[in-house]
Amino acid sequence: MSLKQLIKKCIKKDARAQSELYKQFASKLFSVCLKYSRNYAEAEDNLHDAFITVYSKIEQYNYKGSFEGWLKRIAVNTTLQRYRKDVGVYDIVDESKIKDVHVEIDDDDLSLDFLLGIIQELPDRYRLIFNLYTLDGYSHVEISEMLDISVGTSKSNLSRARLILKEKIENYKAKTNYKSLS
Amino acid sequence: MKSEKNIDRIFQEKFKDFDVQPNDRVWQRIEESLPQKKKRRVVPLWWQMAGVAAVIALLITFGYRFFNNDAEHPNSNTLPVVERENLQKKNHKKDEESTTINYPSNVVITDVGDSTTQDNLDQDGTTSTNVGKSDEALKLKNSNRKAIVNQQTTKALPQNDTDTNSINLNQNDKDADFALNTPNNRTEDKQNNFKSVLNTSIETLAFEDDKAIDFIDTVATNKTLEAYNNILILETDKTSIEEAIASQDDINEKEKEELSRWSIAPTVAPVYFSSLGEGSSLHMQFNENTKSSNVNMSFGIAGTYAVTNRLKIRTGVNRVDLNYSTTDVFAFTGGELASRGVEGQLGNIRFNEAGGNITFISAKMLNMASTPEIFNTKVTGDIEQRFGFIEVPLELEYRLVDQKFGVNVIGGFSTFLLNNNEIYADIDGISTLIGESNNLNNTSFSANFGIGLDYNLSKKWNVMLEPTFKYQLNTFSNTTGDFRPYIFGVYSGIRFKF
Repeated sequence: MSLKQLIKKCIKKDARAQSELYKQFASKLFSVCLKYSRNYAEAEDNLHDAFITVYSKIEQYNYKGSFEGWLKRIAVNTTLQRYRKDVGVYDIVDESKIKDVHVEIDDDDLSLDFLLGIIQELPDRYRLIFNLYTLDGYSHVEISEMLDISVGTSKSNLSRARLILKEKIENYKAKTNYKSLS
Repeated sequence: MKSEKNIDRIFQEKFKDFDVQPNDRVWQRIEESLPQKKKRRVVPLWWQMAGVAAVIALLITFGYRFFNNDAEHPNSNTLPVVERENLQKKNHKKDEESTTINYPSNVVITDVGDSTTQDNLDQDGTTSTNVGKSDEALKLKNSNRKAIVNQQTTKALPQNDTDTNSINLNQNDKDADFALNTPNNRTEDKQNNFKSVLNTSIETLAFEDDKAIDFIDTVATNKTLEAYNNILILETDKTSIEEAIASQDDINEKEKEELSRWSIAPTVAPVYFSSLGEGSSLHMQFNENTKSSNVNMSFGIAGTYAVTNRLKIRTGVNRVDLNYSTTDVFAFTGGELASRGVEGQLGNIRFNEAGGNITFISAKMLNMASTPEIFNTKVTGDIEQRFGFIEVPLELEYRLVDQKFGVNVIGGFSTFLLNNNEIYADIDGISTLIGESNNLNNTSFSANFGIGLDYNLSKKWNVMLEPTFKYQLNTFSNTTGDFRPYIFGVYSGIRFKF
C-alpha cells in the first residue's frame, strides 16, 4: 500500500490503515517525543496524544512537504502544548545581554542515553528551545512565535540550556575520569 | 585524541539517527481511545449477519428459479408425444408435397440455429478438467439427444417395429457422445453427423419397410419443419439450463456485487395520527366528538438492501410520538358531580392520583337548554392522549421510475413497541396529567403503503421524500364506534449508499 493510499484510508478511519500508519511512523515520532518530554513515561503520553491528533486531523494534510515532517510537527506541537504552559523557575537575567555561548567539550564516550537524559532533565522551556533550535533547526523567530516568547528570551534560554548541558557533561566526564583513575 | 567540539554538534550528530521503538502499550492505548473503533466493530457484525440472510434469500430465489426451469422439462418432454400423434395423423393423410432432399436440409437449418448449443458445448469441453461438471453436461446432452432421437424415430416410424427404433437410438446416442467427446467439433461435423444419422435411419427404413417412402414424404412436409422447430425449442431450453450451470459462477459474482448495495438513511417525518371512522379509543360517549391531532415528528434510521435493481428490502428504527385529542369534553373534579349519578369514569383510562376523582362528560351528550347551570359556566376542554412508539418497519420498495429522479412504491408492515403513554385533560383550562390509556397494546402492528420519491445527488447520496400511510392494526384494544386509527407521515431523509 502506498503512503497516499494509507493516508486516504486513515481519513476514512479505516482501523487497519491506522494501525499500519502507527507501525510505520511510531519510532520516528517517539524519538521526537523522547527528546521533547521530561521522561520516558511522558514521552509515551505525548506519543499517544500525537497519534490521536494525527488520526483526527489527517484529512488536513495537504500533500505539500513530507508526510513524515507533517507528523513530526504534530508530535512537536503536542509536546509544546503540554510544556509551554509550565512556567518553571527561570533565572531572571537581562536576556538581551547574553551572547551565544559556545561550549567546547570533548565528546568521546558520551552515550546517547546519557545525552537524552540530560536533555530531559532541562527545565521545560530550555528543553523545548534546545530541541527546536539545535536538533530540529527552527529559527529563534519561529521559536518565539511557537512558544509565545520574545526572540531574545529564546536566545538567552538556548544559551542557558547549553551551559547546563555543558556542566552536566563535564560533571559526567569528571566522574568517569575519577572512576577510571581510581 | 580528544577533539573539541561545539556542544550543538555533539547533540546533532548523536541524535541524527535517533529512532526508538515505543512500547506496544502505547498502541493499545491509542486503539482504545480511537472513537470510531468500537462502533466499527459492532455495526459491521450486524450488517454481516443481515448480509448473510440476504445471500440466503438470494440463493433461495435463484435456486427456486433454477429448479423451476428443471421442473418444466418433463412438460417439454411431452411435446414429442403430441408431435407423434400429429405425425401419425399426417402419415395417414400421406401428403405428397415435398421431396426427400428437403429433409436433410431441414435438419441443417435446425442445426445452424442450434450452433449456440454447440458453442456452449465447446466451452464445456475446454473446462473438461472439471470431470464432474462435464459429466453432468454430458448427461444432459445425452438425455437431450435421446429426446430428439425418440422423436425422430417415432416420427419416422409410426408403424415401425421397436427393433429399428432401438438401432436408431443407439446410433444417435453414439453420435451424440461423439459430438460431446470432441470439444472442438465443428458445427458442420455435427450437421454431417446428424445428416448421416438421419440418412441411416432412412436407409434402414427403406430396407426394412416398403412404407419408408411414406415416412420420407411425411417427414418432408411442413409439419416436419414444425417438429424440428420444436426440437430447436427443446434444445434451447436445454441450453438455458446448461448456460445456467456454466454461468453459475457469474451469478455468484453478481450476488457478491449486490452485497455492496446497502444504503442507510436517517429519516425525519411529520406524522399525523387520526382515525378513518368515527369512534373513540376512550369511551363510547366520545364517539361523535371532534378529534384532532397535532403534527408530531418521527425520527429514525432506515437501512436498505437492494435485492435487484428495482426491488429493495428495508428496515430500520423510528421513534414516533403521537397525540390525539378528544375535544368538547367537560371535566369535573369528583365533588362537583359526585351526587349527580352520571357515569363518568372511563374504563380505558388508568387514572393516577390527580385524575382519580375526575369525571368526564361529552358535551355532545348534553342538551344545552336543559342542562344544569353548572355546565353553562364550564368551558369544554380536551382529553389529550399522548403516546409514543419505537417503530420497526419491514418494507419492500419497488422502483417504478429508475432515473435520476426515481419513483418507488413501498409496502410492508411495522411493529410498534409502546414506549410512552400519557393522558392529559384540560381541567378548568389547565392541562393536567391524569393517567394513561390501559387499552394501548404494548406491541402492535401496522400495514404500510407509501410512494417514495427520490433524487440522486450523486452516486452515493440521494434525497428522498416518502408520503406513507400506516394503517394501525391493533394499536388499541377495546375501542368504541368505528375507530380505525392510522398514521400518515411524510418521511424525508438523505440516503447514503455503500
